[in-house]
Amino acid sequence: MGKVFDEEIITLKADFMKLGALVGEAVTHAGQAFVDHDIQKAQAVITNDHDINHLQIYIEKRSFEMIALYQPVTGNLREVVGILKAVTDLERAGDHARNVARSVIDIKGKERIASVEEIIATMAQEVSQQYDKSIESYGDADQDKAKKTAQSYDKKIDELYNDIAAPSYQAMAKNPEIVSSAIIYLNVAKDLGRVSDYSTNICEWTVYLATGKIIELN
Amino acid sequence: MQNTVGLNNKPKRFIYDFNPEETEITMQTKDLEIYYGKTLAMHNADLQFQKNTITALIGPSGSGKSTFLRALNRMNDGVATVKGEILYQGVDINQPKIDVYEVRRRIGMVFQRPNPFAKSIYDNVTFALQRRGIHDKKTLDQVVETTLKQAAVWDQVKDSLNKSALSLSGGQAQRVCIARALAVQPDVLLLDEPASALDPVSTQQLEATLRELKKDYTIIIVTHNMQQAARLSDYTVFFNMGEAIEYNKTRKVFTRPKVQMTDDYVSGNFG
Repeated sequence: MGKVFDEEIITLKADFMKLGALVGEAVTHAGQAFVDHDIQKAQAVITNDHDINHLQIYIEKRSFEMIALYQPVTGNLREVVGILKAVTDLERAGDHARNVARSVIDIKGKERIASVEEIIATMAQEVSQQYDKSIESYGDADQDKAKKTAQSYDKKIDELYNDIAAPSYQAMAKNPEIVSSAIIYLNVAKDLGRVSDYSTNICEWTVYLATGKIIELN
Repeated sequence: MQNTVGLNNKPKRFIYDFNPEETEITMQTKDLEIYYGKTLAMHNADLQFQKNTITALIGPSGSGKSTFLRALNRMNDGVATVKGEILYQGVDINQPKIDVYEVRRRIGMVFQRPNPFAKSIYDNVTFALQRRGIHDKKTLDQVVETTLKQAAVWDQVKDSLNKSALSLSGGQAQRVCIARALAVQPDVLLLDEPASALDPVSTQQLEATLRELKKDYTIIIVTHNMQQAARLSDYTVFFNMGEAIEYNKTRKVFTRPKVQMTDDYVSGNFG
């Protein structure tokens, strides 16, 4: 395809990985902010979401231009299309991290359940790790790592979700005062679960990048 | 007249305006009208060409792009009547008193088909210099090596400089022709479909050569190959019916052209 395309794809991928890092940071910080009741940190995640959205739009625009200007085929096409698809997953994962950060603000001053928040802390950590490994696998076009990551977290994350949901429902049934907090716990668990799903999508795009095959990893 | 609005509020024409404070303009045309006999072949093409860029001229056959290109170094003299101004570094070179040979030294041309002279590779490259009385072997050797390297063909021909240039492959011959144009140290390089007679590998090498050359030269290239214009040029001009219809950054022309006609042409829905 030529030197110019090669140089541009390196820049595009670097921007994609930068976005990956920004979203990764948002996921980690949002989880920590929720666990530590840290409003300031949560506010920073909400503010930084604008940067994530801008970079996503920039990457999409550059991808469209590269398709129009160079009409890439085979591996080159997968490089561009992989980024074009995965960049949407990154941006949405970022949105869910922002939702978790908003929950930190929403729950302020409400009655809380320490045992549920402990499980949320664990889930946030696990999701954050899964996300980081998924992005790494994409950066290295490592399909083995991608498959392993998707498969090893899937069940674990589902279980953690249930471990948060069940006591939240029980608490609501017992004590109407706790309803608003419990709903926030359910939302946070759901948001973290969605980040996990988008991480799996990124792993699927890693497999596509490496092999050209579009597969479901769950 | 420029940038008038057509149907759907889309302009009928769009001509890029360079910011004069940020850009160095090497060439510029003003009020250009080109006639073959009494037939107006080319008008409405007030264009500026930025230093150290590649500008592609695209458009269907008979759209005026080659006519326009040839006007830029007075190749239309005796063939067509060219009215208006052609400014090269601020000087109107479309004046009768201007030395046309000096114009062509500064604004070189490479043609569609490789046209090496029936001479050795060495003599092809040094032909113009020898005609101008430069015979110092050391100087000429230096020019041959420098220009053939610039044209990215030195490694392939350095051991056969005395062989006839007619024995070269199309791609090599075309790059020797570029070296020949560079030997007189031009500022501007005009190319009229330089890759249309070349295979894909030679085309890619030629494009790589041009990308290197734009660091030192201003390049204007006519091409029928829209992918070539897309991947090679910084700016693109779309010509139709003897008019410059759209002039914009290549990225814009091939993703979001301003003029519907340009959109139709680059998408292959034209006519």
